[in-house]
Amino acid sequence: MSTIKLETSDGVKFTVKTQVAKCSGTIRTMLEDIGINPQDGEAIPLSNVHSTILQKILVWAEHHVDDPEPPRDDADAAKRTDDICSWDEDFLKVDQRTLFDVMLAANYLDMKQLIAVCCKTVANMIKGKTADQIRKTFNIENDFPPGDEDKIRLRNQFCEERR
Amino acid sequence: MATINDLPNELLLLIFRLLGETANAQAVSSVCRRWDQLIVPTLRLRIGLYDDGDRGVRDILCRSSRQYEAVALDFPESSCETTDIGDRTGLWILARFMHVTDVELRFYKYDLKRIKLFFGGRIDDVPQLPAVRYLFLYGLTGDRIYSRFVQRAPNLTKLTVDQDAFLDDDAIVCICNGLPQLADLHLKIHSAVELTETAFGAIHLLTQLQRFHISFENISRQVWLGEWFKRLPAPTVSIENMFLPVVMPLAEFELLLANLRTRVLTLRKIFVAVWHRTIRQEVARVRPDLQFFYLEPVDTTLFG
Repeated sequence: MSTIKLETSDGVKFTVKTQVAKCSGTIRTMLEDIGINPQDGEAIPLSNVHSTILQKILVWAEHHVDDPEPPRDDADAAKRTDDICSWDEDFLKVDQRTLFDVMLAANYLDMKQLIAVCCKTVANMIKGKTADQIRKTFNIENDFPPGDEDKIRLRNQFCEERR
Repeated sequence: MATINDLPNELLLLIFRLLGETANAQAVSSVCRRWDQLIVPTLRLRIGLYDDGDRGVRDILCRSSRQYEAVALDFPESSCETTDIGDRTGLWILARFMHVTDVELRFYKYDLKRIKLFFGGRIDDVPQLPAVRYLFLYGLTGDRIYSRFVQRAPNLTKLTVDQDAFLDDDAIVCICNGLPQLADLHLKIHSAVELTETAFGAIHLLTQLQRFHISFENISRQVWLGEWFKRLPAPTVSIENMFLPVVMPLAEFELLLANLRTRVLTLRKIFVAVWHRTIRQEVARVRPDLQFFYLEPVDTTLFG
């Protein structure tokens, strides 16, 4: 079975099955389009990903490597957030810092399925909360000038969700 | 050490799109400035220009830097001079949001003068009508209104016309020739209008049609209807008739039901007079899936 080497931002080298590494669109492009030859034994540098996060992502990729391609343009399924499989749910039971690091890395590595499941997880953390509760949950600073919040409430009374 | 606000805009937007309900969107917009800016494209500004003028709408919109991409304006039944304020506010809103790509206009029992304001005459005042995607007309309009908005709102994809006596064969032909991109057409035919096959032939020109709904008060005049529906290619077609079984000859009704079985015509609900046993049994036998809405046994002479 062919393997390739990946090198993270902190200089750690991982030897990964090529098939698993190809869960990343970014790595797939490097191998297939740009023609980087993994047989050279040289590691592919992933300068935006830390080793702790890559390790975690590789666990996910290993588990999902044989997943079938998801159907495209299924608007209804894409809007659901209650269809996270239990393995992913457990996998993403991590502190927020790790969750967002995983998302950033998945974005850099172009792993659409992992991004989707992370987004669903975060959406579930937002749903049903007030602005105050959301700020508290994610430790976000309220940067509206004092009094502006009332203005927002006022103009939001004229808004509805676009379908 | 990442936090949620380290995520790039495209990831935050992916998350926001999963939130669904308006209440969630409203909370999100109040979290911080960045979230507010990001959520705006997922919102539609809906202004009901009712009888109390503009409810300070202009004032609120002026103090906001939000650039809405979707706007819906509801124009109420015109009754007094306050609707002029609504008209002016409507035009003002259309002129204010230059990047609007999706406009809904709903006119309820609107008089001709005001529809002309939006669809004719003062063309320079209304630069954004090409952005109108959805138009809803309720009540009587006027002559040549349909040829006007075909020209003024060339990107219309959804049209609802409810009880307009001016929506006749000619108007339908004009709409179908002028707006071949229509995907959603919802017509409630006025009781005074008798459509002929000319109108229905024109609807067959709408190759993009995904949903077609037609509603009659008196279907008995439309004797050829069953055959016609069989040929309409739109995936979702529905027909509604207030007193269908009462006014329709049983043979015609059977033809209609026969077409229902072809699944060209999807009929979800049917209004059946509670006293009309034969028809009810027939419907229940042929279409057990239909939802019945029973009419109270009122003055049966009304329905001949």
